[in-house]
Amino acid sequence: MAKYDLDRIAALAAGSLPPEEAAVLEAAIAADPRAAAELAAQRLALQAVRRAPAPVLSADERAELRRAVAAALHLDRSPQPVTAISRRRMNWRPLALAGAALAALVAAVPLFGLLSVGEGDRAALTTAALEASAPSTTTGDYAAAEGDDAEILSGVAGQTPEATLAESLATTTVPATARALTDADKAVADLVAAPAALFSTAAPAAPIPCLAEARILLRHDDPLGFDLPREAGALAVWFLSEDGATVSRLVAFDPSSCDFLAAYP
Amino acid sequence: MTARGDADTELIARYLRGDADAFDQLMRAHEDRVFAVCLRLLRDREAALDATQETFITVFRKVDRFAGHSAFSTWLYRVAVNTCYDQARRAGRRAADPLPEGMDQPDEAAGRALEAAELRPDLEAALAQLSTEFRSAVVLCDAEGLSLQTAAEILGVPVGTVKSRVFRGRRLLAEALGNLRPVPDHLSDEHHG
Repeated sequence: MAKYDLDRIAALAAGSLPPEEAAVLEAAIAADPRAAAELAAQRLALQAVRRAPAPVLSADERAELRRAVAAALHLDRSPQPVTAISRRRMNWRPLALAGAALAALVAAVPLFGLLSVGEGDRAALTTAALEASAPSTTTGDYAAAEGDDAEILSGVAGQTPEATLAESLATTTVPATARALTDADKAVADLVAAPAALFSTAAPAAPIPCLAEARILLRHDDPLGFDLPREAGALAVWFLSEDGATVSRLVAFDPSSCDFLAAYP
Repeated sequence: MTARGDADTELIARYLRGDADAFDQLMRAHEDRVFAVCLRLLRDREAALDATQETFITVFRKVDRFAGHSAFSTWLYRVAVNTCYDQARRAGRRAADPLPEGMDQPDEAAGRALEAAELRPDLEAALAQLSTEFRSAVVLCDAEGLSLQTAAEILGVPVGTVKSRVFRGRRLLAEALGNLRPVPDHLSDEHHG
């Protein structure tokens, strides 16, 4: 028995040896009772398993399975497809301008975020708040609320992250904001395509506002990335990134009401 | 990649774009085989249905992280096997808990589940005698017809380990089927292990 490789016996039983090799091995094993018993055991078990009919779901079980899985994935709520959402996305510019003007007027609540969606296949997205939009600046001044985000953003479009909110609000005019938004299209196009570091990819400790709505609209339970509102009044922005470096789907809400604001694509 | 693998990749992409039909097609393509694996591993129809459901929910929730390094079906099987292991562990813990007073009645549901099981009773009983490791290797390779390499990926063990488990699992299965004198275990240990 010891002279037989058990892998070869198993292969012989499974019929996976070349015919000539199988014939030689079979003949040799026939002269060895213990090896023959081993081969017989392998074949018996294999045939028993292979001959057993494969279990199948009944019609009721199948229907219930699909219903339960779809329900768990929120596919049973007839959510509006993401592609359809993109067709009814709102024009953000008037909204942003009005918001900026209002913010400047009250000069109180820091900041709101804004979302810009590109016209072509590529999205233009900013999750940064419009903190600095000095009228003398033609490139637009965008700054994230803190740390790394500010560095990333300042690297993209030469922003001035150190500009304070009070300064920006005090000096912001609608034309300046409009210029900033226009420039943002170009700046954030690069932003969306590359720096995943801008976006948090870990689940936050704090409750995520509008998570249920995001799940329904994204048709996904577990958004890979998101940007929490950095300050009161900011937009909540959600996105999915398949490779961690590009934005594939995104929805934005007003976190106070969870009203849908925009989506990409 | 196989035609099935290509089709799965395309369906996953469509699903991620919000195509509900892609979900149906992925379910249709894989639900019976996942259920078969779960039933053969757990040997209880209700438990297998639960595990099948949990498997698909897990997979669809994480499908956007599927990198495509292996076939979608391999990943799916892996989730299914792990889900079955977890469920078996949970069931084991539950079985160890004492029943509340007055609850030790005959389990009619268990009898119905056994009647409903579609495995042949002798094979069912024989499979039940295998350890989880041997049973999963035999089910994946011999029942599902997967290659040793694929089974190794699914089980997360080296190919040699799968070979050994399949070989010894078949022998134990044959012995359990009662049609063969036991082969001394040390014979195979001369080659495996």
